[in-house]
Amino acid sequence: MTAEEIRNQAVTSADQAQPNIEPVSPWARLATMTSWSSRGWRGYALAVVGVGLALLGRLGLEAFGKFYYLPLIPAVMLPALLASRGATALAIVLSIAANVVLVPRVSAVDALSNALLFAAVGLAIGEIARARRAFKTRSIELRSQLNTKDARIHALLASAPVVTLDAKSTIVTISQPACDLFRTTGDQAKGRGFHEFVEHFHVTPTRSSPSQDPALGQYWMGRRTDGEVFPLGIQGASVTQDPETSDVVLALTDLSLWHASELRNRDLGEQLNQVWRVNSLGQMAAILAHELNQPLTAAAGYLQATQMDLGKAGVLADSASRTAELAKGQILRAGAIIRRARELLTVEASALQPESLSSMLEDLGPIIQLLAPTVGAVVQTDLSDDDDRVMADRIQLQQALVNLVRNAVEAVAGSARREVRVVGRALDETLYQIRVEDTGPGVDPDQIGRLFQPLTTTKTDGMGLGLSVTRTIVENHGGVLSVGRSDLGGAVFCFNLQRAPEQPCP
Amino acid sequence: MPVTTTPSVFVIEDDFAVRDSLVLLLRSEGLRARGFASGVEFFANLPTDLVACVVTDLRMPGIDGTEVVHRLRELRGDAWPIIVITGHADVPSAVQLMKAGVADFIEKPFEPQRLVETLKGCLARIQQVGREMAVKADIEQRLALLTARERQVFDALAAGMSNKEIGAQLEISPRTVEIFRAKVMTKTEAANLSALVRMSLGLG
Repeated sequence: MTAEEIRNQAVTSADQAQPNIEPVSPWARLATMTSWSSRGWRGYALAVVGVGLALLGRLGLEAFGKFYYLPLIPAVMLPALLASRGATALAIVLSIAANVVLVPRVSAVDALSNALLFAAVGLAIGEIARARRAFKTRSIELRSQLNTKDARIHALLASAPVVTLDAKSTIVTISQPACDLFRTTGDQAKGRGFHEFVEHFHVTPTRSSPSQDPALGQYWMGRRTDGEVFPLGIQGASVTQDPETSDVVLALTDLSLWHASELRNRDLGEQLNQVWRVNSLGQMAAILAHELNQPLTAAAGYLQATQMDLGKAGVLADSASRTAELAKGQILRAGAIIRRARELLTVEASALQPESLSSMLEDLGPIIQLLAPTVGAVVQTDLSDDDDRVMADRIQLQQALVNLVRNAVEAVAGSARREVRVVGRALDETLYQIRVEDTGPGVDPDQIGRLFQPLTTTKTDGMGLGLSVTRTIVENHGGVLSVGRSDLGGAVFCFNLQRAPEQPCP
Repeated sequence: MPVTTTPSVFVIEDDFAVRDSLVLLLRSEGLRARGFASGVEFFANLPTDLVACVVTDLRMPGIDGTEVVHRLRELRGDAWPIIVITGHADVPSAVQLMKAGVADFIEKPFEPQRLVETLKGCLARIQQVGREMAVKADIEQRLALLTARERQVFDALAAGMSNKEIGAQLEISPRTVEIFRAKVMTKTEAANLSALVRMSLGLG
């Protein structure tokens, strides 16, 4: 799924969640009014108008009896509910002033006590109304926050494979992507045990310490409803603190692709190892054959010379001559054994085929990346834009490249700058040059001659076969492996390959 | 006529034991053998023999066996047959060397008798060649002593012309021809006319 699709899906689900937000309530309307009236002079105007109306109302009520402060209570409540403290206070002051002026009282004490009582009641009403208002406003705020959060969770669940389980590992909720993962539907899955979908899964281990359980860090085997089994990553967390009763939320990851590429890398790694073993055995056999054949040749020659001398001694030496002949036969037999062993172990250069260098290096990427971090080296590939198809035995050439890059990475280990560059350039119509350069100390000029000799090494843990095997591979490709000083400051190993012929137009 | 001896065998091999044993073996077979530790050493002291056999290793530092073969084929041709011995035999290089004109390609370790026999075959072949080459060289050496006029008389005599005819051709008196003829006979050490004619034929 692309990022765009995910975003669209999230937007859609947020829209769907919208109806859950309640329509504008009376309280919300009040809040709107409050916000209108509470601003500055409007509240005070409301107080003045309210008191005026209340006085008019009391005038109307004169017909039925005597009212004093009671009709003015609504005039205080109105700004208390809708406007600021100042407006409420103004309404109280205006009411008292109006009463003192308009209604004659028996005594000043009576007037004063009534006025104080009204002020107290008015202020109380004002504060209660304010508190209620604040409470309602807060509740509206919280509700809207909750709705947003809800929508967000919905969007999240709609875009990710998530499963909620109860304490018995039964599926409580399952998101659409999770359903897709198991090729099931939400209705079918709900109420079923999660272990039906994931082999050997028990929720218990996730209880104690969900995020630290190593089993969850590894992968499980998920089973789709059509029977297909696939690798599945599970991250889990308890919903509440109490692990015994809480639901568990599991985030699932389909690891099929990762698993497949992992397998592919391991496969190539194994192939390279195999090729390496065969190559180094062949090289070893060739070295042994050469080194042993020399003394055997000399021994056979000496024995033959001995026989000649014995021949001059006449009949008396016949017996000795026969023994020498037998010894010579055994030497030749040893030679034959060596030859046969070498024939068995020699890697025949197979037919070269057009292979793209960039594709070969791409395959090697994970293997090269495994080499590089151990010494903190950076391996760069720099291929020219030309047609990079060369005539090659793919796995053998990959072996040679890995050998050279490994050497380069090991060479830069002790340097301040740790760079390795694999450069490919078309030289002309027929030749393609490959260079492996590094920023290491380079090769000592008087060591260059010995460098490719088998069984010579500068490393403590090497057999000294790497470069000699690499050279053999390059030679089997019709090239010559040479070494020099790189522009990067270290060594450069360089060879040419035949470019693949142009492909005929279809 | 100088005495033509058995041609020499030169062994070019960097491994001391192999070189030593082969030289020893060939000498015990009655051949004239000499060892060289490398192609470089060999070409630095290249023998002037008209004919010789060369036994060379393939893998050597400096000038390797393949280069020895190519250089010798150019310098000496068929007069110096080459036998390659190697502990590192592979078909492509064997084919390449046989094409370049080596007499044999032997994989180490080998039955020494095989090398000896191959060498003897080669030696017998080049011995005849060597003898002819020696005779020719000897004749050329003697003819080189003649003056231009004497050489004209020699050519005419070899063509079977009489003194008179020669005199007419060279526009000199038969008496003068007689004097030149005596000088030619002395310088070429020819006992009589037929020896002189044979000498002319020996030039090929």
